[in-house]
Amino acid sequence: MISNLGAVLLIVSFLTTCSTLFLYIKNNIIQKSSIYLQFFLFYKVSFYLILFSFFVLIVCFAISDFSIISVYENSHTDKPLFYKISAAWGNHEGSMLLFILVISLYGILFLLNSKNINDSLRACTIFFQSIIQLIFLSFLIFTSNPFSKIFPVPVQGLGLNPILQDPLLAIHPPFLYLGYVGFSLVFSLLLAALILKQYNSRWASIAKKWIMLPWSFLSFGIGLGSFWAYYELGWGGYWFWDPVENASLMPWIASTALIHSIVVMEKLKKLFAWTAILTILTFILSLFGTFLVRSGVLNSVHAFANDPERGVYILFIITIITLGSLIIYILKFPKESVNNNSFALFSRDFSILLNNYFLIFILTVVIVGTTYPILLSVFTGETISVGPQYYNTILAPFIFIFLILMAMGPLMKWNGNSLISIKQKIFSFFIVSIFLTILISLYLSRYNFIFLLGVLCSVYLIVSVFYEIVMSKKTFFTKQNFSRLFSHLGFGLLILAITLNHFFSKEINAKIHLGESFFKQGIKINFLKSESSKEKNFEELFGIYKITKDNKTFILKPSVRKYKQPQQFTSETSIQRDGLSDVYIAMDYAGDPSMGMGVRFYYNYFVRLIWISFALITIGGIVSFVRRGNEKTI
Amino acid sequence: MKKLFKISLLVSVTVISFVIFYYSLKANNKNNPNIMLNKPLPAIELTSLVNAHLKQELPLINRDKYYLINIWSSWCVPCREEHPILMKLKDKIKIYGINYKDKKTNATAFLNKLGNPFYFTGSDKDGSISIEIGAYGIPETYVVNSQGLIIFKHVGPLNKKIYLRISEIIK
Repeated sequence: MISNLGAVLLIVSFLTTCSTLFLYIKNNIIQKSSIYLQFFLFYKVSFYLILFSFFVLIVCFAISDFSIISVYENSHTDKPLFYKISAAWGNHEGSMLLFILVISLYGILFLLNSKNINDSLRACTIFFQSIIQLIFLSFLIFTSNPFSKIFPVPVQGLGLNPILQDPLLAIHPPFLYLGYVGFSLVFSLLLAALILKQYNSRWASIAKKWIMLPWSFLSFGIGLGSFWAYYELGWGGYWFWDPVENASLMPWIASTALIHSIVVMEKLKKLFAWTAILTILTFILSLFGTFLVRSGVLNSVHAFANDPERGVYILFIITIITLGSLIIYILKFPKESVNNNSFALFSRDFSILLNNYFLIFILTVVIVGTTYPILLSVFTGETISVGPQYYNTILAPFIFIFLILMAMGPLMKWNGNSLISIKQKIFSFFIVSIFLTILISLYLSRYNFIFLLGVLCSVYLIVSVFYEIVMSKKTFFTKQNFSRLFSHLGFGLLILAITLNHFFSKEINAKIHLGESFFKQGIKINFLKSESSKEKNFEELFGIYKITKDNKTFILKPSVRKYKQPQQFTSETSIQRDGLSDVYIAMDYAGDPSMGMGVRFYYNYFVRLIWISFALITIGGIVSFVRRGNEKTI
Repeated sequence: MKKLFKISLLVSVTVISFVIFYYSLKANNKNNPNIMLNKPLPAIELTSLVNAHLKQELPLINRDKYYLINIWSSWCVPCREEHPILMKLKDKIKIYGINYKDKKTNATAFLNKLGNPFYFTGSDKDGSISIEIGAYGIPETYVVNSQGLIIFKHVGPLNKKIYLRISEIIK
């Protein structure tokens, strides 16, 4: 019964969105009225309908209503309630509904938080947002309806992929969606401003907060995903340059560039065209990411929801949106804004422009690495995969220069053209960071050139951020760049942590028999005993290991789980803290524990600093959004 | 003119990328876990569903040119859906069924009602045989050649397209 309600709600929300568009076209385009009450009301109704149908889907999953195909295929009565609910968006259909809900949610948030903007711009933004909403609603209803029925009704479901049965992963997709789907709003805002000829520096100050919000969620979502991969997949690493990880990284890089260029546009009335292009690029890369993940062009750990047929539709949607938006841009871009594009060499705006060049370079490297295997397989039929080696080798030297720029840029003045006033600072930071780098390398007794360079550059950024914090402590909480300091500090720490982790982590693979021990690289692993237990939806075999490193002992308890539905093995890692580092062990799938268990042991140096820096980057974004949210003047 | 040029450039670039990615979807149709594809079928011993003394060992080397392995269950709805296709295939090729985690009575009732396409039906009460040959979910269908190599694998119910592809392979 309730499943019918969901299907009906979806169709009604589709019709409501249609009538929203119709209302706008009839009243505001044809009759040129400037009263939007009815239009806004209809949009709100469509949001509540989508919200309600998502709620119905969750209820269907919670009560295991197997008359719905997607419940049957992705759930099972033996599953804990939490995973029953998260299974609602752990599959293609449900996650597309969530996708639409997020589009609509951003529309509503904008509607409620934009009372200080003129109504015509608001309405036109909501108009474009409804178009996007309608496109995806029709995609959902016609190709992947989450409420499709199955008859006869099965007694039991097939179960959720066990590696998705993890509390972090349950919340990871919603955050990613709040991130990259959220860019739809600033995209609509751009198109509306172009059409209404309101694309100016005031637009930039309105739009900025609508970039900061999804950007923060996306940063957080990427961090969560990386953390999940770290402890659930059991490969010991936090980032694999997997195409699906890249899919979320691409819009992140584009939006980071956008955040910087929009500041220049707001403050100095420059970079108009560039900002518009970045806005479009960010949203299109978000959609492209969805295409990569959902269509089955990729083979990856994440590719669990593949269907080439759907891929064609998503591809079609991307093409339409790309063409539509770029044609609007070409036809409507204000000519008069192009004249002011001169940059002085030592100005803050120029360093932001350089930063943008670097980000675009990084973005290009990631796009090439992600799509090259796809293109190659189309033209030659060969399948290859691009590994971390490619990214690390190409990106490392540029990231180092990028860090120096990030430290020096904020010291310069807008439109300034001299280094003299800041020469002293640049020089003294340099001395301090060389000193710190020497201390670090002496302490760790490692003198590799790349290592020293990585530490030096990231320490340089960290030092400059600390200098700013110390110097402006009185006005710290009211000052504009509070959020930038957080994010930049986070990025500096991130690169420092990655460098340390890269050079000091250890990996040991061994097969150890029960009661025996294994010694390598100064680490002793002792297989003490094994235990087994039975849970509701899986059986679990634990191994208990004693690790001895530098006179410290750790007791770790990794396990292998055998899930019943669907039948699949997963390896549960066991992790213990050692300062900011982790002692990490995972067992391989094996039959009889008395025959010896394969273990993978990792000592992950300074890995916790990576999570801390992700948090700092996110906090920076949120602070910026909150502060801008409180500004009444725009 | 400049605008027109820009727009036509844009349209052509977008259309070209569309076409390339469209072909990538067609070319890269690997939406099933192909871990076992082109690998030898692991040695398994099937116990007949109807008679516990009747056994059948697989793979059969140099016996038939090709044979089919189908994993199914009476409680599995997509299996019911693909059943007519198996009935069509049974005259072309020997089909070994693996009855996955099923009750004997339900399984025999299923076959009595819808017809029995299987040359031999083995019972896999605990699902261990299916896991051994790399099954991911049911239904699943494998084409094995005379050398014991899995040359084709399909996850999910058979449809007309797959039917034609299998007929092509075994021709």
